[in-house]
Amino acid sequence: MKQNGTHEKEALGLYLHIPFCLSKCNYCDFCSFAVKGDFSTVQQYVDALCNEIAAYRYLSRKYELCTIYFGGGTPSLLSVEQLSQVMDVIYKTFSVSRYTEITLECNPGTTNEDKLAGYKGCLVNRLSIGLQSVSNERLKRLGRIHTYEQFLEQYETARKVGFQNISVDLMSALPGQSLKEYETSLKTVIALAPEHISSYGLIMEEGTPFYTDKTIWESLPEEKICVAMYERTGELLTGAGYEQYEISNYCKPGMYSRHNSSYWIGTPYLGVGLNASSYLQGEEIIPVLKVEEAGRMLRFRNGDSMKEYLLCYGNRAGKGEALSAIDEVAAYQYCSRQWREIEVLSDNDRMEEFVFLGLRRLEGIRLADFEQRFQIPFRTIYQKSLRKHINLGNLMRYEKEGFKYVALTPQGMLISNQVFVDFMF
Amino acid sequence: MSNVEQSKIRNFCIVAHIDHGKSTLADRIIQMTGLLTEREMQNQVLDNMDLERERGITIKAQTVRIIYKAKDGEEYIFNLIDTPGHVDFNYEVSRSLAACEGAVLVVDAAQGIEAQTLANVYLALDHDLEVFPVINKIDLPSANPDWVKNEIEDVIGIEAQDAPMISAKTGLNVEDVLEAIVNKIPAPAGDANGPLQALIFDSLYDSYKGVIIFCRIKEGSVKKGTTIQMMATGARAEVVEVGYFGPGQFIPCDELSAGMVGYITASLKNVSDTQVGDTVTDANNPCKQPLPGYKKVNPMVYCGMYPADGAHYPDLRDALEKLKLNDASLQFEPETSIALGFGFRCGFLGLLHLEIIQERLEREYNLDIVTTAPGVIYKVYKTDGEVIELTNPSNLPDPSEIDYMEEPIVTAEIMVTTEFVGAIMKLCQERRGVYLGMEYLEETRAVLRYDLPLNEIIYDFFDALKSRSRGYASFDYEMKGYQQSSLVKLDILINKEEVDALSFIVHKDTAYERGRKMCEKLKEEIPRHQFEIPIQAAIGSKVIARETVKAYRKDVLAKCYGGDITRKKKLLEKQKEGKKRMRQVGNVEIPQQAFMSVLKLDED
Repeated sequence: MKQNGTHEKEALGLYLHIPFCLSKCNYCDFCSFAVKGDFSTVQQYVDALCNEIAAYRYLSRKYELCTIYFGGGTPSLLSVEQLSQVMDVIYKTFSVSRYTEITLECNPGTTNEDKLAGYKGCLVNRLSIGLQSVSNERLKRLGRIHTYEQFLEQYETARKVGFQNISVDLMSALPGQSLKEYETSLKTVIALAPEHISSYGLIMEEGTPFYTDKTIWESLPEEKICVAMYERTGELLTGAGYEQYEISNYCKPGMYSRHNSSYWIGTPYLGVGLNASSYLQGEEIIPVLKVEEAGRMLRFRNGDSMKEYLLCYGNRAGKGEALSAIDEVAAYQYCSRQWREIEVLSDNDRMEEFVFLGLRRLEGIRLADFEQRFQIPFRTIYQKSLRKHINLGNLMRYEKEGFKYVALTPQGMLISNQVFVDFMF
Repeated sequence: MSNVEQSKIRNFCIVAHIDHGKSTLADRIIQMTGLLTEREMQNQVLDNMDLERERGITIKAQTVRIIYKAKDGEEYIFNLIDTPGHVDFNYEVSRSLAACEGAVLVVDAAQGIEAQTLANVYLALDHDLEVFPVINKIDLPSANPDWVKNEIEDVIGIEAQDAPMISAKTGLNVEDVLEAIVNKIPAPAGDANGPLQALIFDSLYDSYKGVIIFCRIKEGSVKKGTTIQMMATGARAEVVEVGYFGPGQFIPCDELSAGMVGYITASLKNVSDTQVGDTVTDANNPCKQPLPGYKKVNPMVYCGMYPADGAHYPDLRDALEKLKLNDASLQFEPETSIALGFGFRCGFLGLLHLEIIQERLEREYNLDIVTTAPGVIYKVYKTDGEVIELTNPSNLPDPSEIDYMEEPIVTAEIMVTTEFVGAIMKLCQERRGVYLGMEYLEETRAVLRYDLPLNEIIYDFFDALKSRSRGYASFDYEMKGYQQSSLVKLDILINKEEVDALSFIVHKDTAYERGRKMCEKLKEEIPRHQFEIPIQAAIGSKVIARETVKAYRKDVLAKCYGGDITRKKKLLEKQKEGKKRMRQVGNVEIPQQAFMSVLKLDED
């Protein structure tokens, strides 16, 4: 899916993190804070975000944006003016084509018709709405801020103002959840016919209220039920015209998330904002890299301290002007000094990623791509593990349009972690 | 360094219960005598083996030589010998003690005398060392030095009123310890002009220098060019280099003479030429008698060790010989197994000792080892009159061919504080012991005598003894003979396949219990697989215990987006590392530690 930009530039995804919520859900371990009525921090953050984006202008030499994704937290807490402010800077800094997918995550209860219309006016062309469940009782126990009715209102309003690409999120394997309850949510959403549905099994994350609650642990559905929920998802969605294209993601034909797909196929992306992650090629001009690391792919993230972020990129003390006054290389170098947990990827790292990310997609991995990227046949490296998992029924080989692929079987998908381990070095 | 005055030498070690501050004090002493600068001090300088740093305990005894300028204005040469603190290694402690004249006893001012304090003091006194106490950690709020001093005098019976009261951590009063070493520990005796008589208390193999022997020179002197002779093995060699020990390194010098502690290299390539405990003398002017050597210690735990790849058998043999050089308590003999090929039956001081040797073989010699369940030698009387000595349970003939079997019995002497006599008697009864008698040594200590089957004490008896007596018990045994017994072979099947490394012979009365416990233990240790795994204990074709490891049906990461990738990758890599330490038995991957864990079945 490597897109070539219209100006022969390489494709780049842009992820923007909006770490604000009205309140934190009980299972959430994302980088986000409850905004306690004081929205001035939000504006300060937006200003800083704009400065950061502009500081990366060096990258527009080489890259063109193929996707833009506002994630969080609750991006729909941004006012239309604030979103517009950010989009302006993006368009001024980078080349954006009219085919660029621009996604904004929404939480029911945070928007009205004007706002949604405003977002559309800012060229957002895809909404991702977090529903999780259609049961109000369930939503309360999850610590969600909305009811099913509020979701429905947001969904219908979105349609009204013209959004034609909407994704809805659901959750399974919730404490005390029965297969029937989950099915009800699935069927209700299917009836609304969104273009895209994601369904995630709950993961108990350290540091969340769920994790420290013994009663939650004790009421988690047993493995058998979780498996049934997963399998039922596929059954019902396939029957309703959706295609599963990734472990947890289903869409109407052609309506897959381009931004998320870039994570699994290895397209570079830049993350701006608090705690945002990036995957970019290193360059000589980056001070922290050694000479031999210059051309390698890097993974890194921004820090997660709001205070530090505002200090680095905020408008106080004229930081914004200063960053726009220096030349683009110096600005990029400044940004690189804020990177944390920089990982210089070896060939082995990239091979591992190619496999455990690529196999998340139902299509699987195209062997010719592996060979082209790493200059060595897949078989040469992975013959043993491939054979093992084909024999166990976890992987399959197939051919399509003259290309050979390796992909997870439905059985393999359920236990994919066990498969992936055998492809690590 | 030839103008060393013997009267200015002090050979001493530091002994203490674990964590009372022995190593901290050693570090502090090295620091204060100026051989290492602050910057050069790594944490716990004397523990320079990686393994040790990981486990936080000192395994190998090491020696360091430092210079101290005392209050009287004179310079003294301190040879500080570091000793291990774990109960398994009493033998190592003993060897180090033989090189010293004195011992500094460190006691925690808040904890007072504990199990190993006593054990170490008795050992030191048995070696005729001058022991003086030091009260450590007086900076702690719970410190009660006066009480500890009284305890020392009452229980051990050595003078403690003027014991230095220190904090090794902060350095407070450590100078008093140094002065006490000068004043209380005698200088070594010995005639530097007499015939050479040196005790080998340790050795090391270096690929360039050959065997490096660590010696305490009792009489005479040795230097480059001397032709030395090992009195026990008869081997002769010309000395290439002599020297002493800086922290973590060897420092050559011209000559070692009576009273000194140092090393000798003599291009000794043959590891069997030198034996710890042997006496080194001058071939041209030999001494009349060798020094008293060491008592051969009885191994407490045996097991089979096989190279995972049969082609590495010579490498394993080589490695074991080299390990034995500086670990005299390791014993080994060749043996074979149908399933595993050629290997060795090895004897260890305890389960910790076994684990450490296993790790050293893997880490230092890069060997992949399979360890079998420990066992003893049984006598099998067949119906056709043939008598077999059985070392390997897999070789047990079909029961129909067996008339009867005999197992080895030992007579054991268990020394324990009176508080725990009841608990230990119960333990011995559980292990099919026959009570022979009991005596009181002092008011606080007793000696129990029991006849015990050897196969009941080779697993975890020693550890159980220590844990049920809170470390106070010690244990020695002698072979008594063979006795007829109702024995059966217990097999373990994993996923319907017999794992011969886990088979062993047990008394029929304990078979069910043993089998049940092993299945339970294995169920905990074996990870879930894609299919159900039955774990069974069987005697012949009869299954006597069973557990099941359920199959996993779901192991999938629901979300994997940009920020998740690094974390996920690290997790997968870690799982892969874990898998590398697994043994493949049929379709089942069994972690290395599962084999070891089935040996630790004692419940407190």
